[in-house]
Amino acid sequence: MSSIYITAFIVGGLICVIGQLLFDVAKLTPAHTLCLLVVAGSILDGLGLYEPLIDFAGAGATIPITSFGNSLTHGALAEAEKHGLIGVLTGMFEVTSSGISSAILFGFIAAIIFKPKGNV
Amino acid sequence: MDEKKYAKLEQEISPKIPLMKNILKAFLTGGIICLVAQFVALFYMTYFDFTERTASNPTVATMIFFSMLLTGFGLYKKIGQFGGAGSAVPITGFGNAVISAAIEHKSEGYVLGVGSNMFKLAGSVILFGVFSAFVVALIKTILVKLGVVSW
Amino acid sequence: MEGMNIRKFGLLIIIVFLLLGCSNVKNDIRVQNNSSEDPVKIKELLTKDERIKSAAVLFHERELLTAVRMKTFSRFSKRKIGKELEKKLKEYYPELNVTVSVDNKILMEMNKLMDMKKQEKVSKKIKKLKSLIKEET
Repeated sequence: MSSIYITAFIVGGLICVIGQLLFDVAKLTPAHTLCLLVVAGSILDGLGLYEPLIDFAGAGATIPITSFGNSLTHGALAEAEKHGLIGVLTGMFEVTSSGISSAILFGFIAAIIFKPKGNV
Repeated sequence: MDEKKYAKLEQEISPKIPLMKNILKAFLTGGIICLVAQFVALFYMTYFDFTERTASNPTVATMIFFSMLLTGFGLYKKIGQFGGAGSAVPITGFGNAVISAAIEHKSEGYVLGVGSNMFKLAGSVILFGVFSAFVVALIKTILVKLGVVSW
Repeated sequence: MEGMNIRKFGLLIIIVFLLLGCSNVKNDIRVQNNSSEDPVKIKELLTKDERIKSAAVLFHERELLTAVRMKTFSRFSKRKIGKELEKKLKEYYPELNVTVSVDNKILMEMNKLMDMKKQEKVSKKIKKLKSLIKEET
């Protein structure tokens, strides 16, 4: 049980280091970096590599934005496995990510509760 | 001469220092956020009927809730200044982008301000997430149909 | 100076990984038998497997419930290992309903279940656990 905390810390940290390298070395904007990481997560899931990483690192793999690409792709692939090519299309409409829905929900709640400070 | 040498030396070293420091800071910040999330996942696994795999959904939602509080009180910005990518890459950074845009544009109204500005950064992330998921699933399905790979 | 920091940092990571390796030595397997089946074979199989860190096995009526925890670096392929185990166990105990889980949650619940005294509740709990396992796949 205990070693999952160490692996979560290290793997999560390393994914962020990749992001930092894309910021500083490749000189990408944050938006480009995040998009690239999402696409990378999606491709890794297509290769069947992201799920083992989640098994290894737990939250270290599910919390970085890469998991967003992974969860969308995983939903689409699960449908495709069941229904073939049509499943790719129908799967796309079924997949959700708890990240998106909760960000929208909490974003709206925050807009109601908090006052803009100009420095948020 | 000494001054020149010093300037040259400084030039050689200075671009490296922030990079290494930034990497270290990003590693620590990102690692700590993931560590906290792992404890949140443990909480859901211990007290509710979530397995390791299904616990990740409520964990992500909880982390974004934390992100809302930190953003609302202006603390996430400070974490971002320290952590760089370490605070932007985790899902909390995505949440922060959505939430801070929502709060900032409150004065323009809920529909035109909050609703349309919320997705300024998040929109591109969602677009590329959905599109790449579609492409990857399509390619993989075709490859499976051709018998090149299996599920 | 920065270089030193980075080197120290690299060393730290190496040490942490070595520690991860060390913490994996213990191998405890817990078996509870409420049926007439022979638990020796499963015990042997689980003890022999180097990749397994700990396990809980419960025989109850016609059910054989097994939850295993993998060592750190075997976690990458833990789902595959779980399927492998399930196949082997089905060969060993063809007349039982074999369920294998590699999830920590299931292992936690199994340990709770095995500490429980009331036998009549066990079947109900097993059903619940099996539905949890199914939900995941």
